[in-house]
Amino acid sequence: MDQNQNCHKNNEFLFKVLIIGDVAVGKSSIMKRFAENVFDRKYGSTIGVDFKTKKLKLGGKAVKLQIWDTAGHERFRSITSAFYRGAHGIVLVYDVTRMETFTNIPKWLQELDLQDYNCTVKILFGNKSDLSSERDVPRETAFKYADSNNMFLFETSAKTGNSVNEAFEHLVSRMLVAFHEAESTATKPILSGDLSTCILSEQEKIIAGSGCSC
Amino acid sequence: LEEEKMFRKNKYWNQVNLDVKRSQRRFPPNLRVSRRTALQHQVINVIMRVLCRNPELHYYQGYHDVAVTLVLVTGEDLATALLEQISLHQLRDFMDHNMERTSQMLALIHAIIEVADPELERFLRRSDVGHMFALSWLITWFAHVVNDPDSIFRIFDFFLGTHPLMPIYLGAALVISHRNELLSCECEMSAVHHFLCSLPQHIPQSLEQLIEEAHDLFKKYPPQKLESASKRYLKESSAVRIHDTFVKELSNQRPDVILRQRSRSVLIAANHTTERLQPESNSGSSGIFVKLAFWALSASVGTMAFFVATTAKKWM
Repeated sequence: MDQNQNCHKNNEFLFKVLIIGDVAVGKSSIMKRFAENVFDRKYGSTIGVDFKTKKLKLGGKAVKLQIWDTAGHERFRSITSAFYRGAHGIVLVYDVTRMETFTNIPKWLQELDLQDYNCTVKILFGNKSDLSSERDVPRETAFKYADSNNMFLFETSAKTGNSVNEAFEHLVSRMLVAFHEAESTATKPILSGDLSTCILSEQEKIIAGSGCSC
Repeated sequence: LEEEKMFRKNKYWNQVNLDVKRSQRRFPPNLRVSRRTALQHQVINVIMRVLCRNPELHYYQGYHDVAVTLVLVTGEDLATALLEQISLHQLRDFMDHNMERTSQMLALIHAIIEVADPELERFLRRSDVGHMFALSWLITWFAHVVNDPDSIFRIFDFFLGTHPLMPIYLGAALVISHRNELLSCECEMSAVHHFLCSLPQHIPQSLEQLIEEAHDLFKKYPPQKLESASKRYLKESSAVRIHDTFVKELSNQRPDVILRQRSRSVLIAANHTTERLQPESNSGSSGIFVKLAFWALSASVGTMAFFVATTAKKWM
């Protein structure tokens, strides 16, 4: 509820980011690439939840990200979903070489709706973009879907590092705007925790382009 | 081929393949790729055989870590038999269609710490860390989180010969053994979760001591004596119920009777195993090898039964 108080300490913003998506789409690899700039081919399946922190500066602001990596396996969802609580940003991942991981994205969105996080900043990652010969999800289809759901889509490769940083920086910039927006309306009573952080200003909509809101 | 057709129809086929193919780090690093691929194929066979034979068992991520360990130690045939046994016995509660009973079993780690180290438990509770940190410890028998294969094998031996709740006691012993570092941690959920998740990497250096401590905890605070939260779990748990029946049956038998019973079924498997155990050797009569393998197999199966039988008397 009072996440805005929590996330701005000593002039450093602390944001909780959640990575979700189907099994073996590369959630852990994305986290490792972004937080430590490494790619480990031998990384096994994630059981339960794990997190890493990453500090970065964006537009003169110091930001500390706490990135939570969750298990993709459906049966763990009942116990991992407790960790969704209080997330400022959500990274939804699919694998561009496996169509079913893309068609499952609405299910993941629904999962979030059930958890009442429909107003957190969300972003879509089409991972494994380096495997161009095995591509199963056409770019156009994916971008059209992202547009119609008001989400930003980045095709990333945790293996080569392609677009991973850019995608996270975009997410951070949107979380910052959402934070300031929430702060400026904070005098009003906040009804539900995440509602206030999700309302984007007009200015942000222009920066973000394509009329994207959360 | 007929068998693989059946495997493919099983709803867990894809999931099992995805998990086993990503389990490279569980195999010895100097293994040839072709050999590793062959072993991974065996792991898939072992898991699928057990799942197809027991449709009431539901696969979970981490089950493959248990299967990898068994295949590395015993080979495909015996691993199948062992995996089926422990799936119906020690791992049974994790293989429900949901995680309800797993969650309840996990919660026992706090019940144990509560009685063994109340100050530490107060700290953990204040941090709101929950029990998620111990999920992979419990459902993979530490195979997913310990990097040293020999330590994993030792842990498996310990768990095979004791109570199904022993993984929880070992987890509690591990947490308690790092109590001072924990108490100096910032009392905040993510920091504490992170610290707890990093503990298994220290297991190889102090495994024997941890095993002793876990065993002591079990003796001092057996499951029946834990707080009421565990009572409900104990009532609902198949793993514990099956174990209790098993122990009762054992106390009415002498171990050599079990050995003789097992030996009949093992004899057939032993004939197959001789080839694998002695691939290069062509000297000596096959009869000796049959006897040798037979002895090794009955001993490995028998040790578990024997250990359970002897320790069971102490518990009862």
